Amino acid sequence: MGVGGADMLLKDGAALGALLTPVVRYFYPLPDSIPSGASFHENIPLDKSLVFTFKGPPLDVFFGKPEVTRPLLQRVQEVLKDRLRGRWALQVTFYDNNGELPHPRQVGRQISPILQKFKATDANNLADATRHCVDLQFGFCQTEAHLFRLQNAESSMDGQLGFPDLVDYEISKSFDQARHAPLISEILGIHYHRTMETEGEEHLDNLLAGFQTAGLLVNPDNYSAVTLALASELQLLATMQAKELAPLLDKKKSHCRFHLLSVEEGIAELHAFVATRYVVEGNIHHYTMDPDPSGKEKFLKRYSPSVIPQNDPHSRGLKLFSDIFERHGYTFCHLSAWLCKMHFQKMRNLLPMRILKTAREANFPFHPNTLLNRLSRFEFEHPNACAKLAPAIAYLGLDVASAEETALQLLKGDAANEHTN
Amino acid sequence: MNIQIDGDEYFQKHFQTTDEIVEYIYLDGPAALTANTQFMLGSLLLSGFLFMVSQAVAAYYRKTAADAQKARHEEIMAKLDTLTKHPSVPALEAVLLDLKGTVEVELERDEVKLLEEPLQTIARDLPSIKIIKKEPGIGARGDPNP
Repeated sequence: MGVGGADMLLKDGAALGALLTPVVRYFYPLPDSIPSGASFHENIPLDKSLVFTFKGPPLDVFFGKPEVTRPLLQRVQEVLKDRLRGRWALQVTFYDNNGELPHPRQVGRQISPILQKFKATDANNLADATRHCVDLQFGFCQTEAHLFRLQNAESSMDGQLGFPDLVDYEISKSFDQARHAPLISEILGIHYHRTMETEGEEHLDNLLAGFQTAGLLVNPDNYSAVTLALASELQLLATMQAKELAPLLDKKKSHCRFHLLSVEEGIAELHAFVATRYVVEGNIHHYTMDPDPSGKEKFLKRYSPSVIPQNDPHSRGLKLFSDIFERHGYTFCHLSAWLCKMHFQKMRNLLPMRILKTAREANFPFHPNTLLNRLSRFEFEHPNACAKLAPAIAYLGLDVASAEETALQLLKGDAANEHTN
Repeated sequence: MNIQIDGDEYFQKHFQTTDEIVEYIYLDGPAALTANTQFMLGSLLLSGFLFMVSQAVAAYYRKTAADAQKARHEEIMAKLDTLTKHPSVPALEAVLLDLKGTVEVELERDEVKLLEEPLQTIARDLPSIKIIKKEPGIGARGDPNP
């Protein structure tokens, strides 16, 4: 990006600053189960912590007039000092001047507030920590705005439409939707019978799969009375054993995440790669932080294609995604991630855990890692990333068998194995 | 990785690649951790390491706590239970304070390399865990699973 671009963005940064008002929430004490380091809010049980909310003036006043902000923050620090005896955290959310969450068109996509965690001893520096985190969050906000613009330049996507919807729609074009309902009925029937035949852990596993499959029956008119009866019986059974199913559901999620690691962590790393590049190139406007002179070096050390190690799922994912990034740009990377995940994501509702546990790249059809590997060699020229979707689906063979068909095949194979044993 | 408490072995598995550790954490580790949170590789490995140590501590405690008073026993068991579900440095530290035994973790050379970052944290925050780095040839026992 040239100097002119950077100038424009700096101006954008200042304009954004007048538009946004920070609200800082302090959480204390944090339960031990929350790991250290920064994390997104949704997954963290904070309901046992107390909250103290501080609403600041708009960002340009917050940073531009320290004589207003400093006494305010000092007072917060004094109030909280005695209460922050254990670990605590703070979270910054931006609102616009009407007190509403800013529209995605103003700040790129909606950004999730990040939770920064601190030790009890950091309470003495609460004012500085708050200023630092607000500035950090402002940086994230601008990065998202950059990426939003990049996405608009690379594709015909409307900002309101999500990547998964688009990919799901493109894939679904290849299949006859009338086949969908009978397949789900058959899968549900298999789960029901196996639930009734088995006991203990295996019974719960089948019940969970049956319950999750039953959740896929969206339009009751498409299904026979028998299927609907089976579905409601499975749902009733699952409600009765909800307590036993809860840990199993967590375990199942964990197993599925293992298979999605390269894709999910790879795209997260790619996001960090693109975002860090903006910072290194000086395109992010910060109020308090000076640009780090060693930033460029660190960036190269971390992200050069020649030095990315290949021995863990995270960096393997980054390597493959940076290949796709070089060839097809940022938006197509996100679309690719969903192309790789979509099929498996559906499997996790249709199959019991014992099949998912033994799934490996070699023996599982459309395993996310296999798809990602193949996609990194995909070639197609088009200025619009969305137009590359259909050829990519054909290239990967995702138009050959739908997730439901694959699941049914695997279930039948599993049952046959059971009989021969 | 061998984890010994008071000289008895409570955990034993040799990890050669990061992939093996990651697989172990996701398929056998605490689901409460891996099902939801997105982890940086470093914190994932640290949590995995803490999980393995806490599993060993829990096994040791189950075996040796027969003579402990019942109320106290249940309190510690509950603590250990949360610890294996949500391994964290402060929680493990609290449990190790209760535990009288000495915890030793013996690591192969390749494991030391894989766990470089977590080991620094452990050495800094949990000095009561003794980390033994195996040198090839000197005092190394034969490969237990040939």
